[in-house]
Amino acid sequence: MPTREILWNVGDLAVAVMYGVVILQTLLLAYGATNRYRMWRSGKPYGPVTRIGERVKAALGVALLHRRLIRKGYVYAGVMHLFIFWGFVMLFVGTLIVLLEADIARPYFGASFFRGTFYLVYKVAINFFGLLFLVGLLMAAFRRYVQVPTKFKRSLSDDAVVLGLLLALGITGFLLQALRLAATHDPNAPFHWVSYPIALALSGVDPRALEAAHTGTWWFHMLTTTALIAYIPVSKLFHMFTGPANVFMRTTDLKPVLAPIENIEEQERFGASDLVDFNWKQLLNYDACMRCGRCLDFCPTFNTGKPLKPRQLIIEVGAYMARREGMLAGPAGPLPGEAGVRGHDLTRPGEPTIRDVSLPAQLIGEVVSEDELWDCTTCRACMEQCPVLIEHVPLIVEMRRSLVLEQSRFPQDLVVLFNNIERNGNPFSFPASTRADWAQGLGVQELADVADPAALEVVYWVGCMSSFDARTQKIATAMVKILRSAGVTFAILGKEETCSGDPARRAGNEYLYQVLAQQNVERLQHYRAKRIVANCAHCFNTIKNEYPQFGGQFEVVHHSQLIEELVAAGRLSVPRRLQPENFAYHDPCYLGRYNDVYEAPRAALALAEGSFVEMPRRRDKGFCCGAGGARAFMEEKRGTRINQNRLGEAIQTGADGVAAACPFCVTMFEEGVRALNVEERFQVRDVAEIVAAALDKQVRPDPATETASA
Amino acid sequence: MSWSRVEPIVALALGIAGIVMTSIGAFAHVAQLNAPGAAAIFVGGAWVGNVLARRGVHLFPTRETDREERKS
Repeated sequence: MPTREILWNVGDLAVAVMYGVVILQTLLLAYGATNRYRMWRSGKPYGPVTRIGERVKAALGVALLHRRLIRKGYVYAGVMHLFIFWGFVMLFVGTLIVLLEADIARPYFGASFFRGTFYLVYKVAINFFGLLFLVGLLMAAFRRYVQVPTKFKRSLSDDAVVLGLLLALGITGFLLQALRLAATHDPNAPFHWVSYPIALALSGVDPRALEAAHTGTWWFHMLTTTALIAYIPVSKLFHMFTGPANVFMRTTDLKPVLAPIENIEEQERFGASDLVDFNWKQLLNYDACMRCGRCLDFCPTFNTGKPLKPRQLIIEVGAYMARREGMLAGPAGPLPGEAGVRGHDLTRPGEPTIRDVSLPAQLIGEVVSEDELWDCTTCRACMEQCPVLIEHVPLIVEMRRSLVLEQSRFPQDLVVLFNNIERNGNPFSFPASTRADWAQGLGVQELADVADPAALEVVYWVGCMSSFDARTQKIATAMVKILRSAGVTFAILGKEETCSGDPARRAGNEYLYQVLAQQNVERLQHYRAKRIVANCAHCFNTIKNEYPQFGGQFEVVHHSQLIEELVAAGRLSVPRRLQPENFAYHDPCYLGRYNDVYEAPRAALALAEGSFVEMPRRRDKGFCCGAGGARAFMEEKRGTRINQNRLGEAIQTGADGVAAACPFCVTMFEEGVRALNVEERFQVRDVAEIVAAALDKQVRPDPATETASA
Repeated sequence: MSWSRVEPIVALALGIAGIVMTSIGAFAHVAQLNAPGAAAIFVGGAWVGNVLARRGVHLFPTRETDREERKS
């Protein structure tokens, strides 16, 4: 009956050593894992961890099915990882089967299952998974060392060690099999279909030489396995545990909210200036990175040559954390002194690493530069792409909070921003009393003048940008026209409206944000606002998702959603224009990625113009306009300009203009078209402006309507 | 003797017992000893590693400056 001798050609001493070294590898594995666990637990409390079933499902989906790894645009990398993962897992299971046969079934039950058909199927399967494993590894090596995408230009030598160890395991595994087949003339050799050709090639070699080679290879294979297991907790390989763990521990509802600082008046420390200031889930974030670099692909700062590179930030803080705990962070790491100087490039072999320099005393300034923190637009492109759900943006905002509220170290532009918001209730220097000036002559009611505000269909939240900025006031007037055309009863807060607090919160000024949020919530509650429509994606996100933290539970819709709803209800008829313009649509980050609103603005655009152009970077892979995270109020001093990068993409589509659904995006693009000197031929519009314009224009008769009236 | 003193000794003893059992299993061809021996090695080894980490023992060399900074 087909089978093989387990531990063939391996002496008693080797068997004893094999069992003995397990103590070393498990000791090191447990030592490293415990150290990592202690590192995370040194953070603040996090939780409660609820909805366990949902979390387990998500973690298993990521780990076993690679749900977030195999995505459009990442098929090669996803399949590569899937091959390595399942190859590794099944080879491990194969080893356990042999162990079960040799150490349990035979000695205790006198039974043997490792024979006959099972054995042959096992051999075919294990060869298949072994090959899968090797192919995956070769694909990884090809990508890192032959293809070399920009994001892997400076790869950590840890990558090479891991790849080398795994490749050595895979190759010696097949070689061992082939040497045994050749030396024993195994009649079942063809079932070892990957090793068989190698065995055929070795068939002429002296059997004693084959046995000697087998012994040497066995020792190498066994010690490599031991080294690999011991290396796991101090290398990137630990992501096999931290990745699914991070998915399991993720913010459950996945709503894009920043955690408030509770009882802010009583706090003495704000944000995170040190590792211990993060909660332990956030510290786990720093340890979960699998270094795939997807966070860089659509990152506006990385793609415009700024110091902030989300992957490096995570790796470096993770390495700093490991080093503080006296652990190795892989054989290489970042050079803290480079923070903000060379843009946190990873080190090349031979260059000094984090281990060669003194332990940085400060997290902010030495490990992470202030420039990096202030460059972030909070667009969430990194978070959206991260396969293991690392939440980069909240980590950055935590450090911004420390800089603003504790250390008073922030760009001068933000001093102006905060002062303006504090004094005027808006980011500009306009007095609050002029907030509703844009509506003069339009007959727009203010809530204070409405006898029964609760009877209104919607409260129109105008936002600072559309209230004060001459260009984006046109969006507000367009909205008024649309609401009137549809017969929607509405009013504005007018002088009582203040900044939603989004730029203050994203810039780290949580105190100012909380004051504004509480004030706005109280006012909206006072007027018994049931439904709020906002044309600003930032206000929309803040009121919808973050005001509930302060008791403000309102139904909030974006203006594009309301337009879609009014059209569907037959209350708004948008005639298609006779000479439609061809707009490229830009997804505002706070509408798309933050709130999954992708279709409504497209529908509005398609309705008014008949068609529109999609940009290559769109939807969840959309490229930021550069305004988020209070960046709209800061000078963009480093790298190239984000708005011009995005605008260049829109122009390249051949469209007549770019359409957005947020006044911040419109403002950034208006600035961009002036800088690129294309304002004569390239328009910038909000979808509300396009719809309102369609309401005005000469219309092509709708055949359906004509037929009906006839 | 307190548990904190006994714990690493018990953990190490378990691991060593495992090594003894698997060694006898290998050299005297008593295959029944391999499974419990391997289990004892696994648990003992992991336990020792866990104890060392919990007690802040540094298995890897750290820079002198790091040690000084940690003390301060």
